[in-house]
Amino acid sequence: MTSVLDINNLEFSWPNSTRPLLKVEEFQVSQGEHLFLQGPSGSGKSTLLNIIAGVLTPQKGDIHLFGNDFQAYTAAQKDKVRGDHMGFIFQMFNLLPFLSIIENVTLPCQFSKVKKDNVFDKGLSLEKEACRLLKELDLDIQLIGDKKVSDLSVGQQQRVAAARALIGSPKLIIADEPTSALDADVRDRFLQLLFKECKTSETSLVFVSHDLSLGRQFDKVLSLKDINKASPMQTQSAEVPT
Amino acid sequence: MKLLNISLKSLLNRKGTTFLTILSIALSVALLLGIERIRTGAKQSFESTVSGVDLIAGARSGPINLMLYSVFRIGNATNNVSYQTFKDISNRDDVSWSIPISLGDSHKGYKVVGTSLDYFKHFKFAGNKNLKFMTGNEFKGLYDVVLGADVASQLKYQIGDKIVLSHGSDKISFQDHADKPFTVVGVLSKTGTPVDQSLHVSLEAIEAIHIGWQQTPGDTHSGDMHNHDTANESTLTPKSITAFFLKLNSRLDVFNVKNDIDNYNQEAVMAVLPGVVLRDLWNTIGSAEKTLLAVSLLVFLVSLVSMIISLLATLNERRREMAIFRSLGAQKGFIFSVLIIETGLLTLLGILLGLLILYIALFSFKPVLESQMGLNVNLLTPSMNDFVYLSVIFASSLCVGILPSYKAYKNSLADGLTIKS
Repeated sequence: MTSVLDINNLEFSWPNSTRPLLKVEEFQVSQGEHLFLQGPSGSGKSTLLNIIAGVLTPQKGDIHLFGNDFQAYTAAQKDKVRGDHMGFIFQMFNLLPFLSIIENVTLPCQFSKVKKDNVFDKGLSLEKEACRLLKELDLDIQLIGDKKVSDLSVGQQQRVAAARALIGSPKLIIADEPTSALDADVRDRFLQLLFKECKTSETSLVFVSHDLSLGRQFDKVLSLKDINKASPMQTQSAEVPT
Repeated sequence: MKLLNISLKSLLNRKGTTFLTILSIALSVALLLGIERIRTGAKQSFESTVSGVDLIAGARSGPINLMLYSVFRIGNATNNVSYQTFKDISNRDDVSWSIPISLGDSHKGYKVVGTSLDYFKHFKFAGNKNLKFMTGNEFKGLYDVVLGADVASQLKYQIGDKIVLSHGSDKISFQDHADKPFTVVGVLSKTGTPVDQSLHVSLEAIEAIHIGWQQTPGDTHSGDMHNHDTANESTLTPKSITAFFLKLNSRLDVFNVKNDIDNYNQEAVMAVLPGVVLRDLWNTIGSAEKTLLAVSLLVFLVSLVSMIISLLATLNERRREMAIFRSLGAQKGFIFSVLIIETGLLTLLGILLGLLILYIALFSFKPVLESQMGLNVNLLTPSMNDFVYLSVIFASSLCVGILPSYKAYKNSLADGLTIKS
């Protein structure tokens, strides 16, 4: 299996801090793999996601994304890779309230020609593909109409967000606590739909949550505490002179 | 869905704050341009206190002095001009018409102007407006008087009222021409010029009321000798006048004629070009104009600041929006552009709304401005200045838009893809 993401000897600290916040020796995601990353808040979770997204730059380490040396890219190139090959789902509030459902779902294609072409290669228009994805995710646009997303329930909004992450067949989807606002039964259904869609397009999924009970349904489960060697306690003890 | 479209929809989503921002820009645009209109209006009204007159002639003194007493009725003439000189110059071939002005009497502080019927026919103000009668008509009889608009309204005179003129220009005069009362026969419409503050009688009337005044007090002939009948029978040809207005057949001759008058060898007279002197006068008394300009600039500064404030205020609620754009692959410059485009749109809409407000206000207040303040506000033609102001407004708002845009850009870098709320 080819690896989509390959991180080695990563070290990150904030500019004004001498203490590393994140220290990851090895972290890998293979193509098509569904990985569950468990981490409570404060464990450096969002920092790691921002590094993978190319928004933050680590001081040390080696990141290979889709087989390329991500660290060698300029900020603009990183933005392009993110737009072309990644999709994101966040906890909440990640839709633009002033756009309609379809406009929100097709928004990534406005920023990326690659995603747009991926849709066109299927022989579909952007709107058709958005409707198809939403229908797969149990949100029939023909039934509810193309309303403003602010009129939707939280569960429905999260499905719109998932469809937006999935459109244009990205190679990697990063989901940050996407189910924490959902009820248990809605959550399971949402996960299954997400898995199914990722399988169809061979998309890798990195799913981050504090709730370990969700991990059962994933190919691989990792704990951020285990892979991050720079947890606050350890760092402090390391600073004590021996 | 392009950048502009996203900006528009985002703005529409924040209708309330957006509208308030636009309104604040619009009001300051309207205020700035409105004050500007009034400023230029005041200047133009002043500079066109007399128009259609090529030269003003009077006894030799300073040009501003001549202007002040002949047009603004301020101060006194140092000397008179003989009627013969007036006749001589008026009869020149290159003179189209002339208006004599004879000053020196007053009524309750308002100046009395002795003149001819040509005054009502030819005198123009504010570009090319002729004097109009609100009621009545020009003087025909010897003791007829035509009132300026302010005189009639302040003293509540009507057609047919009898009034008494006084010698000199003081408000309280003990030298009334009480034996020769005048009848109001006409009231002029408001002009916004010193004409409003004047009473107009014929040159002959001025002569008539002064018959016998050369005699020393205590002279046995004074008093009963000077009744209406005697005056009418006397030879009323004026001996001297104070100044006169000239219109030439061709403006090209102005300097020629001026030169001839200045070098007139029978009498020490001079001629001035009213436009030039009025401009000089405005420059000396025009500090009010500068004050207005300062006020409008301050208004504009305040509105720029309020625009920055309202843009900065919306930034916090928009951090999520920016993070979403970033997660979709938007480059850092995109965030900056969205905000700058938004500022541009707000300003553009503000300017358009401001112009609308300005024109509605101008149209509704034009009659009041004209009749009450005598301001001739130019309505429809936007001046070159307006364009300059509007482009400066647009450019400077884009400049101040850089601050919130840069802040948003910084935020989006710090926030990354997730908002810590």
